[in-house]
This record gives sequence, structure tokens and C-alpha cells, in this order.
Amino acid sequence: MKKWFVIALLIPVFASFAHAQTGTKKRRPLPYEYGGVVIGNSSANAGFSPVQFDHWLHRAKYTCRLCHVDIGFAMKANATRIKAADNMKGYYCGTCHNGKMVHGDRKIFEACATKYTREDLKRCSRCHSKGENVKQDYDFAAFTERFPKERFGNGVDWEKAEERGLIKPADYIEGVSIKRPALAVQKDFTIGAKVETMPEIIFSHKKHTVWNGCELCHPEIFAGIKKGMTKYTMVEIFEGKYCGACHMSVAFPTTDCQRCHSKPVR
Amino acid sequence: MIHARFLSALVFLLSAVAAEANWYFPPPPPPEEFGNLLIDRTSTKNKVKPVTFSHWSHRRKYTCQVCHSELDFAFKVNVSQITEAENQAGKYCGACHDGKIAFGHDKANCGKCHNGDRGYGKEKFPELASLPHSRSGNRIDWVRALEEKAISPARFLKVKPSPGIAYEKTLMLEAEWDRVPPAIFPHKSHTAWLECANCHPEIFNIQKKTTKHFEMKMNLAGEFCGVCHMTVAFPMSDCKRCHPAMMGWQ
Amino acid sequence: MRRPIILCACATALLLFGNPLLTGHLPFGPSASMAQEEWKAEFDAVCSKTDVAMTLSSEELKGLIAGCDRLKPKIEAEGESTRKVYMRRLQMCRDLYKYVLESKESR
Repeated sequence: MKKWFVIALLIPVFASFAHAQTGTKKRRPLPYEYGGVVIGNSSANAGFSPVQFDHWLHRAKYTCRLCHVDIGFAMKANATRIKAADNMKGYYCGTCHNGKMVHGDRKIFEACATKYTREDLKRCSRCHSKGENVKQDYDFAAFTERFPKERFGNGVDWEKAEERGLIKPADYIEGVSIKRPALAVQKDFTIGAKVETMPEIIFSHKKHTVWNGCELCHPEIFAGIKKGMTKYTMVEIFEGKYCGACHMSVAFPTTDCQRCHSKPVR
Repeated sequence: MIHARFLSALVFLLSAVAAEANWYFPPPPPPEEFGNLLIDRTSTKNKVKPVTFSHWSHRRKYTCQVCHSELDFAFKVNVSQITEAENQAGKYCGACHDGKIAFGHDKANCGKCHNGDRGYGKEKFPELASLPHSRSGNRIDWVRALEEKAISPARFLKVKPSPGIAYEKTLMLEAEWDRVPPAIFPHKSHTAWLECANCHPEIFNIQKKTTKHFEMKMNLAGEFCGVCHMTVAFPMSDCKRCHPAMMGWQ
Repeated sequence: MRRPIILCACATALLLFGNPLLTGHLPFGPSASMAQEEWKAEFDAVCSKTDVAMTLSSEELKGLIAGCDRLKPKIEAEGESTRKVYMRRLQMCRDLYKYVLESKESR
């Protein structure tokens, strides 16, 4: 009797597994939505909407390393635990968003203040805009018009845009970044695919170090100290680990399999 | 003793009933209407006739991945959030139906799609008479048509992808029923039309081992193979197409 | 008459300004910013070599890791925001040196 009972209990469990796949694909984020991060640790407490941070505008102007190493942002939303006080002291967003720093011909608007008027609230909602109907300062389509295109993600091939000099992301802020000697050029290497006859992945450190520093990936994302030591598969990557830390939500997505699996098997 | 016999008889009866329910295939539409959809997510709500979409008229010109990967159309009708505004802006249908590649979203052309007629455009169907023949669906063997270069559908629309992955592994999928021969799944004839991300991992997830452990019942419910092979690609009533060693089932 | 006044004045001065002197936190004065500049300069010196860590010897790497460890208490004594930011930066820097050292030693 107990056996039947257990089996009867397990049936809906297995059924749920089967119905976990329904053949409908999730709606992909639109080009301007891709790379968007919602940050909302403490906004609600202060009576503000969560922050809607879009990567596309910032990555055209700054390297990944500048924010994620030099300024100290974590690689996952809400993990940095930014507070308005931090911004006002000139950390995190406040490193640049202080009303004084200049980019091109504009002063970067100040983030967060303890005393603000109704007029100032408009400035607050430039970032604290999740769920609100706030008009963006920069139009995605106009901004990315001249950039080389790619099929997925933002629809912009950022790698090519940087190569061709269409964007010149800054890598150094005085007083924040450390003056570093240049990184030695690294050779590309191949990573074998787990599934036979799938083309191998050609991994280029060079292409990644244009945007990142060593400590961004090592050892937090890639802890293996020797090539081939850490065994991982696409499953972990789709979950946002390893390559998926960036290539699921900000860098070109894994939907474009052939971007990485580019070495045909002989 | 009686208890066990009663139970086993009940199980047998239930499985027979379930089997009967399993193998119900809806009556097939005429060849010129197979693969035609009516899209009505918001049309009727906005007092407009539903849109008719014909797969056969499009797949002779574009591979599946152009619409279902590059243009991000869903594999299920009424899921993609297509709106008039987005069409006018060059998204979804508007990517081609812009007046340059194909007829545009002008007032004169509304009726070409918004007509609620699943059989719309069937007068053009005889143009496909020269393509290799098949027993089911559109009565056209699209796979052979592509292989023999009778059609040359484009593989991309706006952005040329980096060289595709020619993954050609053929899988043998054992049937769960005793006397049913295995299904043969060839990646090659699928990668000719689709790319990896169309099916993996959302429809066939390697982690959950669903690339092998799914059942006919699920296919018939429109999952896994049934996502395409019920209403657009050759239908599963054509058992021999996948189970080549099958005898007599039709 | 004068001595108690002087004593009172000293006591008042200590009370008003003494606390920081006792705890070591000087929110004002040249010594405060100098202290910050000192450890910041040290931080810059120690963590500037992350991009060339692979070219350094095991001894140099060990020295840098020790440098990170020396900086830790100095940063922990800072205010909340500074601590939050620089502890993370220090952690990343130290972990990277440790990582490169391990890969060297495993060869």
C-alpha cells in the first residue's frame, strides 16, 4: 500500500518535469532591453523605484574593468549593496555621477542627495525609473545607428565597434584607477566541447582583456589554475556561471552558438 | 489474489483507453492550407480581422531560422507580441513587409493579411507543383527540395552570421512501446533550416535529459518534436518519416 | 586660582577634542587625510601589478599577498562606504595573486 502511495506521489513530480518543457521559447529581450539590470536593495526603503541600469550606454564609454574592478561593482545585480550614502561620498555610481565629472561636452549629473526639491526629483528618476514611464536621455536606435551590427543581444557588435574606433571606452579614472603596466599579449587557445563533433571553442584572452582585467574573471568566475582543470558544460553556462556570468545577460548571448564554437572538427 | 487481478485488469483497461486517446490525429487540412495560421492576439479585440499567415509561401524564400531566430517570432501562435506599431517600425513582419522586400504596411495592403481566411493565397499554391512530392502536410518534401536545390531559401535577413555549425549527428531514439521501431533523428536535415538556439536548450534541454526521454504523448501535445511536426513541418501522422521501420501504421 | 582654571581648560579640551585622539579616528586635520593617502598609496602600489602577475616570481607574489594582508586592518578601520569598496577591491587583488601563485606552484 505504501509503495503505491509513494508512486502515486511521484507521478505529478515526473509529470511536472515533462511539462517543464512546453516548446514555447521565452521572449528574448529587445535590443535596448538587453543588458538591463534592476538594482533595488534599498530604493524602496527610501521611497524610490528600483534603479534601471542599462549597460549599453555605459559600455560604449567605459570598459567593463573600470566599473567592475576599479570602482568595485559586483558581477550580479544587488550584490554590491549600494546605498545613496555611498554615492554621495563619491563611490560606486557617485564616482562619476557627482555633478562635476565631465564626459565629452557634458557634466555628468549628480546621483543621490539628502536634500532635494521637487525639481530635483526629475533627476532622481533618471535612474530610479523601473516601472515608471521615464523618457530616456539617449535614444538607443540613434546612438547605435553607426555601429556594426550583430544578430542577438543589443544587436550591436561591440567588439567590432571598438576595433574600428567607433567607440573608445575609457579605462582609467584619476584617483580611482591604479596606474598599471600594460598586459602582455596572450595567445588564443581552444576549449574542447563536451559533445563530440560539436566544433571546439576558440577562446581569445586578447579579445576579453580589451574590456576586462585579470581579476574580473580570476579566480571568482574561473577558478581553475590550469587550463582544462575546471570541467563545466553548457548547462552551467546557461545558469549564469563561467562564461554565462557575462554571456547570458550583458555580452553577446549564448544564443549565437557559432560565435564561440568556431573551430570545425576535422 | 482477487485484489491483484482486479488492479491489473484496471491498469490494462486504462492503458488501452489512454492508448486510444494517444493516437488520435486530427483530420489533416488540405495541402494548400497545411501550415497556415490565423494570428489573433489583438486583432479581433481591435475590431480588425485576424491575420492569416501561410508557412509554405514563406519557407520557399527563407529558412525557419530567419523568422524564428533572427526576427524572434515564437514557435507558438499568439505568443509574439506583434503590434502594428512594431511592424511599421520594421520589426517582426515589418522586417520584410516594408514596401521594398515585400508589400508594405499600407492601407491598400491591409486585406492581404487581415482577412481571417486560412485558405488565402491558395491560387499561388500550384506554383509549388514542381517541388519533390511527399505524402503528408503540404504534399511537398521540403527537405529534399532544399537538398536538391529546387528552392534556395535565404539563411539570414539583415546580419550575416559567422559560419554555421555543421553538426550532423544522427540519433536513434528508442520508442517507449514494445513493438514500435526507434525514431531516427538526423541533425543534418534540421540544421539546414534551423540553428542550434532554435531548439536548444528551451525545447530540448540536455540537462534534463529531455533530448532522449520524452514520449509520443508529449509530441502530440505540441511539445518537443510536436512544436513543429504537428502543424508546420510534416505531421506526425506520417509515422514512417521518423520511424522508418514502422509497418502498416498510418 | 590659575591652576584650576588651566586644569578645567585642559579637561574641557580633552573632552571636546579628546575622543578622536583616544580612538585614533581623526575626522579633520592634516593627519586624517594623510593617513588615508598613505594606505591608498600603499594599495595602489600593491594592487597595480595584477595585470603582470604572471611575469612575477613566486617570492614577489608572496610579498604582494603579504602586502594585501597588511592593508586589510587599515581599510577595515575606515568608514562604511570606503570599507565596502576597498575591501572588495583588495579581495579581488589578493585572490588574483593567490591564483597566479597557485598556478605557478602547481607546475
